[in-house]
Amino acid sequence: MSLDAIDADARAEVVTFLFGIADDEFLTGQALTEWLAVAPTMEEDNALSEIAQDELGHARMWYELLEDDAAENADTLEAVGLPAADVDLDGLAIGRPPEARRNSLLVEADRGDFEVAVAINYLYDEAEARLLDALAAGDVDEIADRAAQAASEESFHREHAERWLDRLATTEEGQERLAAALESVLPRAADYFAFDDAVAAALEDQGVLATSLDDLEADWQEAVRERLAGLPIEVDTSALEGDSLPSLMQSTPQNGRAGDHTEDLTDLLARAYPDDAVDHGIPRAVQP
Amino acid sequence: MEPYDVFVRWERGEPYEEAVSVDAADPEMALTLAKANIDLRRDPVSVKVAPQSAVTETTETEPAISPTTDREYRKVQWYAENKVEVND
Repeated sequence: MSLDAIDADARAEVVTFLFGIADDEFLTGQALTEWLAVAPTMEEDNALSEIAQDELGHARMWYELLEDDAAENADTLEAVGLPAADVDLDGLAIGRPPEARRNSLLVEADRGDFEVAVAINYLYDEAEARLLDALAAGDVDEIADRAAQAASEESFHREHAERWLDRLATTEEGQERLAAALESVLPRAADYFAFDDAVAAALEDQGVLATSLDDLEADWQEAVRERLAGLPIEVDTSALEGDSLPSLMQSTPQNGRAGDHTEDLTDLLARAYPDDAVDHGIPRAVQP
Repeated sequence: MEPYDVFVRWERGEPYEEAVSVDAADPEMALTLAKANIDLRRDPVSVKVAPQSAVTETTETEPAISPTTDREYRKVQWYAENKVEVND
């Protein structure tokens, strides 16, 4: 099943976008698996593992759609800078190097501290929920169906992040650490909706998204501003006002959606697939 | 931080089953954690959590509580089998 409904001249843009959300989910899942056995309580361990499994499942869903599309339209992969020979699920998910990735900088940040994990999960879940709803309401069935499936599992992820946001802010230490975590990851969230204009236009023209990326971003920013204002912490959210992208990106002028990633991504991929692992024949994103 | 008992109703009309116990700091968090810690077969109709400290239960050394004396007269069938004379 490929994205037959998409016009040939817009296909490369839509595929770029799909790689963005697939990479987002894949790296989120990988990052959350790092909490296995080291979460604050056993119950939390199960909760974070469940969220990680969900995200990896969603990633698989999107990569499979891309794999199917590439099988019928090899030129699309060439257009997004992937040699057609790399078309299999593992190659797409595991084998692509950092510069080929299209995820947001938010998901590659190290979430080894619990408050950072909560901050990233909250911002990511809020943004993703809006994106998935707009995709589910879109005209392209292959995308809308998958988005609806993912969205139904995401409601628990949001509940989990929201609960912890409130609870971390009940102690002094929690407030300090949460505020610091939010200030450090907010700028990284700037590129979540920052797909380039050609991609944004293609998504609207082809009916992939029922709402424009700009509207989704504005909605997300307002929700985040309100939510953080309601917490007993001081976080500088001025960057979320006005013309968002330039102001938030003043501190990290990098756009993960354009393939411009930080060292964190290289580290994350190296931790997930270390050099000294048994050679199982899967091509590595980071060569030993 | 205290243990909460988790009860799950899997189907409408069916009774609640006792599932896991979860450690949590408050009831809301206990419910959220319960959702990720029960053995999911399909979407349950309802999940309940209650702090173990709020639950009072019997112990194994409690006296027997089922009736030991004859209660046959409580059954309708007994009256069909044993005609009772009514003196007018």
